[in-house]
Amino acid sequence: MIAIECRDVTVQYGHRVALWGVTCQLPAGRLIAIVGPNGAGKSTLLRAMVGLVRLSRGEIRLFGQAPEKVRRRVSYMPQRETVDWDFPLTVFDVVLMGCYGELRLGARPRREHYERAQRALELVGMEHHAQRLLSELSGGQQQRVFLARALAQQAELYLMDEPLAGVDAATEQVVLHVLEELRRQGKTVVVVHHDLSTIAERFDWVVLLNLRLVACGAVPEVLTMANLHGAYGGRLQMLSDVAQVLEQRRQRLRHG
Amino acid sequence: MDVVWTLATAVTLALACALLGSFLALRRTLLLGDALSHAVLPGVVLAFLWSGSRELLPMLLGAGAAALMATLLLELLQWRFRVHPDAALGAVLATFFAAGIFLLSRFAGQVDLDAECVLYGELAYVPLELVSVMGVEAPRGLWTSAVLLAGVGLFVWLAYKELALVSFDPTFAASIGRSPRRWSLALMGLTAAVTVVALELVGAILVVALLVGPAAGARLLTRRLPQMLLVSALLALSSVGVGYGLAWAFDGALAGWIAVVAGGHVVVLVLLRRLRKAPASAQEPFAAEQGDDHAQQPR
Amino acid sequence: MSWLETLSHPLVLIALGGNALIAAVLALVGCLVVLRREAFVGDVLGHSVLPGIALAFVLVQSEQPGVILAGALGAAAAAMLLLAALRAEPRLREDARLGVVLSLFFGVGIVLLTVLQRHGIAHSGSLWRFLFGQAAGITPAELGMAAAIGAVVVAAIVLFWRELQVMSFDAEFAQLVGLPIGWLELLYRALVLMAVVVGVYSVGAVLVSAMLILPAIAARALVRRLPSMLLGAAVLAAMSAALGVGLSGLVAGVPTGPTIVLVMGAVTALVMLAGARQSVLMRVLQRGRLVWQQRQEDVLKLLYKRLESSGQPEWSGGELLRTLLSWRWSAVLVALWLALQGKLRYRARRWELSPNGVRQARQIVRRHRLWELYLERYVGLPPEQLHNDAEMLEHLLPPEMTAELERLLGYPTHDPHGRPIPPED
Repeated sequence: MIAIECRDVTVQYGHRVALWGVTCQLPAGRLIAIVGPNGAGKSTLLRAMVGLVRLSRGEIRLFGQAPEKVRRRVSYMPQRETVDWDFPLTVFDVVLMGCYGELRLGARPRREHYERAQRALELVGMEHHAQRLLSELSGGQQQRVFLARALAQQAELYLMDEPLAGVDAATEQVVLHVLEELRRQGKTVVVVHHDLSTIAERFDWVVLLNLRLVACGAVPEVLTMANLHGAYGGRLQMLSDVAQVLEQRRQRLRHG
Repeated sequence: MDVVWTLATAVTLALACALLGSFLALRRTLLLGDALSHAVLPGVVLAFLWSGSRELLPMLLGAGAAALMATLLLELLQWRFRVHPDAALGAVLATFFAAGIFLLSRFAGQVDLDAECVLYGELAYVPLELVSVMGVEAPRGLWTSAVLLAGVGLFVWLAYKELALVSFDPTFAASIGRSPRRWSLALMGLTAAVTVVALELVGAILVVALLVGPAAGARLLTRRLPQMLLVSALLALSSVGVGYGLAWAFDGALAGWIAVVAGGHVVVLVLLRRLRKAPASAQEPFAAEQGDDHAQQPR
Repeated sequence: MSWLETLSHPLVLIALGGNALIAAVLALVGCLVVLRREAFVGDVLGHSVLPGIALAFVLVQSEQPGVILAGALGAAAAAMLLLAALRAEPRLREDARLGVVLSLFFGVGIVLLTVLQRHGIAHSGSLWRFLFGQAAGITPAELGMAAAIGAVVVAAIVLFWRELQVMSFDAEFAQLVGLPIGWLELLYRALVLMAVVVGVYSVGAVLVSAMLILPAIAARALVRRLPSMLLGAAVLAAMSAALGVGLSGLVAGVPTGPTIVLVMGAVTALVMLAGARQSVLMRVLQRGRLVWQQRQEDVLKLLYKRLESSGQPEWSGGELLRTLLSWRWSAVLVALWLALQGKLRYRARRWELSPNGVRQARQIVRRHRLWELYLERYVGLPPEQLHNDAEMLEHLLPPEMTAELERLLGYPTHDPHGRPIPPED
């Protein structure tokens, strides 16, 4: 079964093109890694899958539907640097936000939501920190709070932006354990990852990205292909240079 | 009795401002509140000229139109012409306010407002105009600000979790279908409404002070959102109370004094915190590290 | 009195010149402020001048320009210091800091002014002019003062031009290359203070930030380079101020300050809509030119390919027309234009590409095929997608990049479809 389908996905941020004509299909029930160098558009692709960025061309379907239609079946975990961790909330408050998607305007979280948040906290080993303030957390703990919030959403498709970036060893263990657990439950998990060397042992499927789609497929195939072609890195620099020039011109014409 | 009416009106407005200001402070958009409070002026004056009265509805419509125009202009400057947000905000704010003052002075005879009044209001005149609603007689200003406070209170009560969500993590909020843009527009709309009412009663400067002061002070004093809302309300009360006391003791415009107290207590709080923290600051980075030692292994 | 007489009255002339001068000074400093992204600081400083003016008046009980000026400078400096001091508290964000200082200082100012007024202290009413400015009432003494301050500001900007430029652009770099960043910072702050204070005389405390920001925005939209931006801002501001004073002198009951700001606002809007580099009009023109150029290249390519495939270097009129129409009808117009340029010529009753036209066509085809090869080899695109991408790229690539591409590909002779890549001439 196909969980995610991208067709000719192209995204630009102002002057800069972030993704260019990406076409791929990602199977359901797998642990999928999106890999590529810095600025390759990994996060952009993930954000596009949740409908957070406007595509300038192409389309994305989740479970055969538009992303906006299946929000409740999708859980998104942003990079932790994107928020202000000095915000006056407790750990539990944040994890509870995972349930907000189901609550209407004015509705308060009910007992079941509290229990769900509690369970999610236990899964990431933060149950003793439930009442702590965000400003008191270490980087790894912040990451686990975000992970717990994603788990509290109880989705079918999990999209995680760099959950393993810059975390301590204990948190890395937790994240990997959670990923494993999600796979066991038959969920689809897409993770943005920056480290090609650890892909083989941890993921089933890989999307190799560098502005363009370089390769997409089961890990063994793609990694050999990547090695054969040497497609990863330097040689594609040309392409991104050109893309910048092109988009700059096009943007200048369109938006001034 | 007049004193009671004046104080009650000021307190009601201050509470509404403090509630809204808290969310603006968390989103770091307090200056947008400042800008809006200035930018609605031409709309209000034009509505005055058109309707010839102080009816609230035309004023709100005029202010809404002006606020909308200002917002559009801001977006245009920022996205089309790549002007830095701060500069765009400053430019739009001052130009709109200039237009308002221009209209006020040009049509001075026909408008029951004057330029100074727009700046620092006429709280003392509030009790002069009594209106009876359902058999209860109270100043018109108090009625309008009470309606406003009720509106703001209801909004915050209903949308508390959305506001918290959108302010803390807009990306995540958008991913679960809560548009950050729409909620920030709602917040701006309410701010504009508060401004319109306040402009007539207490003046632009006091709106800014009441939006900024209590919220900023509460942000310093508290560490959780519900407490922050509560403390900002208390600080709003104390600003009005102490401000009134000072105005009574030393004379001068009440709105001016309230603004002084609202801004002043933040400065005092910062000072106190610095003094208290100086010896203890060495321990602070520790708190975060300790957290890691407690980290649990997955099970 | 006719309007000409009104405007040529000495007092009006003083007002015109004085305000134009002040506006120009504000605009110069405003460019630095906007570049440093501190536009809102101007607003706060402008408002905070008020208590200083009132206090100075209380102390000396008269409206001596020097004393008032000292008071204004002192208050603005105090506000600046408080702003810096509040920076020590990280939880107080920039917006809250600015708001707090603004309400504190402006609140004190309003209190002092109302106290003065209620106690009926002589002449204190005239202090109100500092709120919205009564530029028309500018006195020769004040004009002299403004001129002196303006001279200092201009001299400082000219003298320390390079340092200020580096600092505005990248303070960290400025520090790295060993500029005395502390002193420069102080100089910059002093310039802002002085500009804001003289600005209060012209448009008033509340509106001074507009005269700081608007000219800079307008000038920036108009020109690219920093020196021309400063010059442009100063000129625009001075003209707007003079116009504003003139208008308010002619229409009764209109205050000068807001009029100046409104004129400046209108000028800015006009610049943005019509004259600016990024204006709508310019963009449409630019786009049209580009599309036209692309069409020319497309037609050249079409004819070159035709030449390549048939080996026949010339066509009869009918053949040419058929070829052109097979692509799109507008190609005929393009071909006419090419003929006018001499890239396509009519010789001995046959049409052919001139050497010039052939050269240009070759370059286009060359770029196209190099790209196809690159996209196939390194990006791994399927063959059917190659053409469209190369189509887009061929028009837009600068020559250096084509050369780089050729080097990367090892100077190939044929494209993925087996067609020859024409050599560079």
